[in-house]
Amino acid sequence: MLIVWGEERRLLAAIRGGDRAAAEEMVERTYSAVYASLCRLCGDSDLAADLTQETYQKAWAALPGFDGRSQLFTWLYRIAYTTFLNYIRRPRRMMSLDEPNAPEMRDASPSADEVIVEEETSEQLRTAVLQLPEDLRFTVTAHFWGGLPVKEIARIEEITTVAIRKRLHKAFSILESLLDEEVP
Amino acid sequence: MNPNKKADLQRRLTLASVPKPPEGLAERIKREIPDHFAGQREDRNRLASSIAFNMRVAASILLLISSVYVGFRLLSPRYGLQKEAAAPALVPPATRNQTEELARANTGTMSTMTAAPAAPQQYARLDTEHDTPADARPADEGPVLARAGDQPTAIASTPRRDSASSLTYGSGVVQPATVPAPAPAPPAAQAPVSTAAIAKIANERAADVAASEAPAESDRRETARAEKREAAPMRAAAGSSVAETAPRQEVAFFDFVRPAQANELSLGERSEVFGVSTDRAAFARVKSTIERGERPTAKSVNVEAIVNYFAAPASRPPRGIRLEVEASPALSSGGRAYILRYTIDTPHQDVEPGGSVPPAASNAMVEIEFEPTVVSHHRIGSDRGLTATESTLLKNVSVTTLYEVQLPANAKPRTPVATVRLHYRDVHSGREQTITRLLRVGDISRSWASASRRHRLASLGAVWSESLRGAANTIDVTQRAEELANQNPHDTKARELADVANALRELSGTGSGR
Repeated sequence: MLIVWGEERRLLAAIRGGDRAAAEEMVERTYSAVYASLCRLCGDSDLAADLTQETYQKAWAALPGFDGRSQLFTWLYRIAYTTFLNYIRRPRRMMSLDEPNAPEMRDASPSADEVIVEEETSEQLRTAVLQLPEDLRFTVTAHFWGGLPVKEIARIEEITTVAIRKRLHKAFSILESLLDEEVP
Repeated sequence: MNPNKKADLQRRLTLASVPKPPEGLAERIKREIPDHFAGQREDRNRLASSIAFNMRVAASILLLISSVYVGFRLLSPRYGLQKEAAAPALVPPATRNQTEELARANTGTMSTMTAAPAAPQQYARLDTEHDTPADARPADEGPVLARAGDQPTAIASTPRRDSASSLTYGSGVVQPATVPAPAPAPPAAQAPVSTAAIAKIANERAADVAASEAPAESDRRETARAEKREAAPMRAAAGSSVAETAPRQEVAFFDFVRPAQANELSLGERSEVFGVSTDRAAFARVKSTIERGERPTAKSVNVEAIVNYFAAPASRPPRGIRLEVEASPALSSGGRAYILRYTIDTPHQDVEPGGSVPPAASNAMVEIEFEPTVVSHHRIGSDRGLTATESTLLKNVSVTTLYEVQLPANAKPRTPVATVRLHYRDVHSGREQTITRLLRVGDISRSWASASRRHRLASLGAVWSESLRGAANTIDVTQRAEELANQNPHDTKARELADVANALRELSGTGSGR
């Protein structure tokens, strides 16, 4: 459960005052949502776990500069999103499993057809979302995968809620066309 | 947009499966909660107070230096003399009158004296405190003064002459008197005194005074010479040639503060950083050899320097010190060999010609640690160890090291390969910093072609230069370099490599640019 506003301020004040227990409480309350957002973004649970850790490392370093204008989770999500972007922009790629010299991956247990289909659909949707222009991509992922309300997204993007809704509308149009293209 | 489709899309986005975090993730995150939160406020207060303290110390030092300088200037006897010398160096009225009387007595006309000595006492000081290099004064310079208390005489018969054949007193230049030095004023009724006689008398008096005042005079001269000798090395060290070459007319002021000695701080450009050769001329030498139609000898090829030449500074200089780690499959290997690159970039700062490059960090150390799972590793172009230090890491530096690494067959993506650590003290904050980069199998580029441009150029440079040293090579360096150059026509380095590899190919008569 995310932290309500009043509690959030108390928690932040306690963390800044050096209360380790408050920091742990903040982790407990937010890490699942951060992990879930990252998992949906990158599609890899191991990678999402690493990125979640990295997100909190950056959050601790940036905490003194957090002015409290947005909610704590909004701020965390922003860090997580940026961490994800930095990861995909780094000059490294996973080695293709098809290459003869590729390292072997641990073989997962056989999946049922339904599970495979669902995963493929999710992957298609994820790929399509990641192809959106940056402003639309952030808005869509923050709203649907980060669970941030439109008002919060508007606050951190420093635009109006109307503009956010317009972005969402535009994003849906693009996603629709992208997903239609992928349908054989 | 179809409302049904929109709703469906929203549903899919919203109802995308919510993955559960793996076991232990929360604990791992909590373990990394830093301890510094407790001391944050104290750190800030400490920082503020240390800044205030440093400012106070700096202000005190500046005040001290300026006080000492002003005091020195004010209290310096030379300063006093110069003040007086700056004033019209005229004979006191009494002396002048006597001089005129004498002259009238001789010639009936006023003598023309553009200047006359001041009172003997003052004149004596002028002579001894003159800021002329001791060795520039003529050896036979006689005391050009009258005994203190004597009737003032005009400038004596042994005036000090400089190369311009004019008399020099302090900072002024005195034209030779047209009338010889007068003798003590005789009564008006006396017979005229000849010029030669006056000069003779003045000489004798001067000799007497010299004999009596010689010890004091020589002491003062010796002191002045000693001061000059002390000043001369400092001026020489400062690279100033003003004191030695200034004409005697000028007053060489004492250089109170000598210019900063950048060379003592080791801020000059270096050909090695962390023991890695960054000799920028290495590639140019090889290139000019090839252009002359000769194949470079193996010894003349500095692989590390050529790698660094092609790795080049970052396209966008970092704001702070940056450690970059990258890996890709090796070009020439069909097996499980990979090229691991780490590059250290420091911030860029424009430097005026002849200026010194400022430091970015001190006490820097870089180390690479390979995991036990790595089958083998070797450093390209050098056999130096895994750790290197640099006492002063300058700005405008970019240094790259390449390793060839062999990995086991079944290495999983999360298997760590190597850890690179850069540890240094930031010169601005004074704090110790450590940058750590962990490379896993999954971080390795899928192919050499998908690695960064910098990585590809550096590794291509390594392959080419190692082939010049006799290593076996099956790669068409020319073709690869041409591809790189065509991908980015603005990349002069890729074009250079392509051209020189092509030239070597023509020289060798082979078809691979090897």
